Amino acid sequence: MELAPEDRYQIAPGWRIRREAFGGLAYHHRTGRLVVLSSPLVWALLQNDGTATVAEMVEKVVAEARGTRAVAAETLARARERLLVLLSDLANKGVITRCEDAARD
Amino acid sequence: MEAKYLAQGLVAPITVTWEVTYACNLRCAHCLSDSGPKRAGELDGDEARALIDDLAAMGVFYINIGGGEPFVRPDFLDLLEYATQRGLPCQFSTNGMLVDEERARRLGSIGDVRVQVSLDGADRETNDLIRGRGSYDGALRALDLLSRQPIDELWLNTVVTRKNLDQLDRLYAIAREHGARLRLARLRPSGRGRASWEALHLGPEEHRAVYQWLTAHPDVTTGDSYFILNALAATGAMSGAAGWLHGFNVCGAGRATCCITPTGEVYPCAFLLGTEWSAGNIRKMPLSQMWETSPVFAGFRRTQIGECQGCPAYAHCGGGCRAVSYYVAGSIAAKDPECVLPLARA
Ligand code: SF4
Ligand code: SF4
Repeated sequence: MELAPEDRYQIAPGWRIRREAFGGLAYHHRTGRLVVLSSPLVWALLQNDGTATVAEMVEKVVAEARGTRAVAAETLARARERLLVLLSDLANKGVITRCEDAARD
Repeated sequence: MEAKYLAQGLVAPITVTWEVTYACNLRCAHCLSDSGPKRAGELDGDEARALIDDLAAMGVFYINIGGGEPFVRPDFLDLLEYATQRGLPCQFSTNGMLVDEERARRLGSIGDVRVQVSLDGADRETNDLIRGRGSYDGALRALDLLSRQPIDELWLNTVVTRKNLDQLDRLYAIAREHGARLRLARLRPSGRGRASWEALHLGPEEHRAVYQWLTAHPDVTTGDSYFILNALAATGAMSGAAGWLHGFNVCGAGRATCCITPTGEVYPCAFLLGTEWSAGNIRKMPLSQMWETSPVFAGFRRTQIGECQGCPAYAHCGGGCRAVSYYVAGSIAAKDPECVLPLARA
């Protein structure tokens, strides 16, 4: 599933998320699937209750990672692009779902 | 999952195997926990619930319940319910003999439970030779009853041995007929499995046959430690990268899992129950604390398999099963004696 920047997303039903030193883990009992998550992704999952869009969460994650540091615009653009790809990958793996899809389920 | 994540130490096990009782109504030839009669000092209901609370608070993803036969314990379904109500999914293994209509119905009403019914042969003669008289009929009756309930996942679990290797197609068919999935488990020489190992364990060519069969049946799941067959994919000798087996690809003992016995002793894995591997007892220290501080677990997390360095399959095998290495080769740091790499290279 390709996620668009304006899509709102949430953790898909049945997935449990846990923080780890390297980032985190997502586990789904019915399928037994286990997915390794990087730190920004765990943050993007746990901090979004379904009200933020992909683009909004990407901005929040980038702001959180940057803190008060000055970061080049090009670096920020790359980070945004990368996060979009990673979130779409999580959507493909079924870990997150578009809120509209969840409402339909 | 890559071993590098496990080496750092997870905040909690992914799964904990909890053997709820030693009591069993069968005497299977390969029983890993050498179960039979109930033993003194098994955890009572209050202790069991405190354990579940600790596992839930740690963030353990699910409990893998075994025994003995869980249904021999009168409060088994209460404990299952208690765990799932605390957000802890469960999976359990049963020989099926004590599953009746009422128990099946009650199981169907508990969400987040995977049920594994054990069957080690596709006919009465083969199965009962290993699991005991009446066990084939009992398992099939249980499958029948459970298949009529809305259970999350129903599995037929088979320990592959020399006796049933030629029956995999029929076992697969039995599972499908009951709306269940077949799960193949590797025989390991623990408990009574040590005495039956020579008679039952597979040789190299037989392992190759299992691998070929598994790659032809991608919907069949494998128990942990069958990742050792990945060497046949890593060398490209069989079906190349497409032939990786699904599932966990490294030994999780003390790293992703641990085992709690009916009396509360904690070990790195259900197949490594020697006193030298005891991490303590939950009556003295909660698992949450033991997981962080036990030198036994720390040792397993550090273990590197020297003989396997440079192996093309290392990332998908990690040196194999520590229990097989320990019981057959004498060291948890030895290469798995059933390594199939030479076969792949031949
Ligand atoms: S050499 Fe070691 S890592 Fe390689 S296949 Fe054999 S046991 Fe596995
Ligand atoms: S020792 Fe063997 S059975 Fe135990 S966790 Fe490791 S691979 Fe699995």
